[in-house]
Amino acid sequence: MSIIYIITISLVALAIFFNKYIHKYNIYLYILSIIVSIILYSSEANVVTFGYVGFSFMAVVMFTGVLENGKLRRKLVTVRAEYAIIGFILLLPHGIIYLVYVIEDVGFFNAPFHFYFGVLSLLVATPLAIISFPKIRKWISYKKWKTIQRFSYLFFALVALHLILLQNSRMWLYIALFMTYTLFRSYMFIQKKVVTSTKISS
Amino acid sequence: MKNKILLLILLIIGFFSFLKEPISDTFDTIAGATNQTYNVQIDGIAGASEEDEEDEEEHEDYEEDEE
Repeated sequence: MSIIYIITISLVALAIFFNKYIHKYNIYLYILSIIVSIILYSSEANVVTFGYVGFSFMAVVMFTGVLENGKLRRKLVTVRAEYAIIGFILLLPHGIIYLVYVIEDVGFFNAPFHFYFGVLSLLVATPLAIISFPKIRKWISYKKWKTIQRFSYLFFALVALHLILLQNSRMWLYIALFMTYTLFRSYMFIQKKVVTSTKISS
Repeated sequence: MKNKILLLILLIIGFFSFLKEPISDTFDTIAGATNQTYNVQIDGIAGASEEDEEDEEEHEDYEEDEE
């Protein structure tokens, strides 16, 4: 998991210093991500096909949601949609490689549990990534967009199950990471509820 | 305050992750090499064990057969 930490810290640093550029030139970054994905898909096992880079982008997206309002959150929110789309693009080679491998060599119904959670998470992430594009976002109402975006919690949960059920040496670290997110998210949710109910009663 | 607590927790998780995984393996993987720390996923899907007792037992059986 230290690899995820190194990439995530780099991504946060990039967001802090270059958030405006990342947001402005997002199309070029998407194209670059697609090219990188295609090249690395056809090469030997690497950080992208292992899923580390894609997950690192998603980790930034995930934890941005639980940050307190302030400078850091503002900077990360600026690039949140971009990071989500790039993360999704970079997770595709990981998903496709393992899907092909399982279908060809193991058999789709003989795969371990964590594989199915991985497939499901990619299926859930697909519409989320599509509606993250600003042009597509404009086509749908804010209410509908927000409802679809709620599925990101399902995506995070599926990714958590996928990683935890791998039952490798990093399992406890993954549990700690997702537990932290769940606790902070729940706290935010309760806080929001309390504020809303106070406003209504007053 | 909440950000600071979050940062602290993430730092603790990060500390344990760096403790568990050799930094040299991490940099090797970024550079494109696979190693013991970062090469188990395919084996995991295929149902192979990762250097556990089963491997040792199999090895012992093999040695017994040879004898």
